[in-house]
This record gives sequence, C-alpha cells and structure tokens, in this order.
Amino acid sequence: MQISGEVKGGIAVVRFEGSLDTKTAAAAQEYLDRTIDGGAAKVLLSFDKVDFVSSAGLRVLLLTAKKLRARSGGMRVCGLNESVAEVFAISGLTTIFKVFPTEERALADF
Amino acid sequence: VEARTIDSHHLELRIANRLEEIGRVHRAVDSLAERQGLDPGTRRQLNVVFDELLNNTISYGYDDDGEHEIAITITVSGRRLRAAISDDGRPFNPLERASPDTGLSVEDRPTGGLGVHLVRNLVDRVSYERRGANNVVLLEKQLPPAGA
Repeated sequence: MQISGEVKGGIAVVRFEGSLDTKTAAAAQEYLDRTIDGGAAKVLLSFDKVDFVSSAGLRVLLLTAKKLRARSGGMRVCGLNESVAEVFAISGLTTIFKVFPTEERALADF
Repeated sequence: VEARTIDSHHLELRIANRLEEIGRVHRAVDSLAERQGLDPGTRRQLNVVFDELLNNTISYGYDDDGEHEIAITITVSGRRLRAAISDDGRPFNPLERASPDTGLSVEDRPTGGLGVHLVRNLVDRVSYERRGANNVVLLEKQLPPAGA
C-alpha cells in the first residue's frame, strides 16, 4: 500500500494505491489521523488505484468520517472499482459516504 | 510455513498466526486467479473473504501467544471453487457473530462486525465445523464462466 497526498483548494486529497486491508489499515489510519490533526477538515479519499478493501479498511473510513463530522468537516470518496463499490454496498456505506466516480466531481461537491 | 501448488486447480498454503502472513495468502490467490483465468472481481472477492476470516482467527482465535499454523486449501473443480481454512485455536465459530445493522448513520455505526457479513455476501456457502482440535471454515463459490 502506498499513500500520497496533496492539498487542492483547501481540500486534503489522499490517494491510496494497493489494497486497504488487515495489513495496511494501520498505516492508512495513521496517515489520515496525521492529516486531520494537521488541521484538514475537508478530506477526499481517492481509490483510483485501490485493488480491494476489506472491513479493516472500512473501519478506517468510518473512524475518519466520524472524526471529520465531529470537527464539522467533510469526507468524500472517489474512484471505486466494481469490487470496492460492492463491498461498500454490502456494508451499507454507499448511502452514508458521499461517493463520486472521479476526483473532479468529488472536489466540486465540497 | 510452506506453499505448494499441486496442480493448477489445487493450492495448499500454511501460514503462521501473524497478521502480516495474510499477504502471502493474497499473493497465492492472485496467482491462482491468473492460472485459472479468474475475472478481477472474483479474485478481489476471494481476497476480501480470506482477509476477513484470517484476521478473525489470528486476532481472536488463540488463548496463548505462541506460534500456530493455519492451513488453507483452495480447489477449483469445473466452475466451482471450494476452500478450507483450518486452525488449532480454541473452539471459535466466526459465523455466530451477529450481522451488523447496515442501515445506521455514521455516528451510530459500530466500526466492527462487518467482516463476517461481507464473507456471507461474497461467497455462495460458508460453514463451520469443529474437527478434533481444529476449527475448520469451509467456503464454496460458483465461478463465472471463463472469459466472462
């Protein structure tokens, strides 16, 4: 798993690459915690290069969404492949996360 | 700790009860998928299922801190995949865990409990047996037609 980030118009864009699973969830959580602790209130998570996500990864997203809500911030998610979208849907997350096909569309929603 | 491929349709893998070992199972699934010409969706579903079940066993299945072996077998016959995960931990049926309420909001949603819910939805059949001193989880999944 590789994680990279940049700030675009006040929005922290975090891009994951690889799989977000048992092995990689802790590193992802750490990165997102640092991003939020560093003052980011609006966070866009890009899954363009993510192969699969398991519940360990979903847990990271739920915790991040809760933290951002507590700070009146917001989280958007984009670029899910069919398999990741399926996992989101089974878990009931498609309705509680704001999911967009592309980074541009997600950024425009903030 | 060993991995061997008996033929292109059958795979046996033994891992230690450490979370980082799950990556070896993902790699084995990826290589089986390549040999069998499985579509990416099926390959990813299998990786999620193994991630969930092995995480459960390794995180909650043992009363001691010692090293244990977990055996994984995967067999593809026709368009049907069968798999078994066997461990010597304390008696533990992961399927008894209640399914989460997936209709709750972000604030009310517990962050755990989704794993087994995903497993049940990503394979056609999952069952648990206690065999002697071992927990055995059996999986079955119908594969889409080749080239689909």
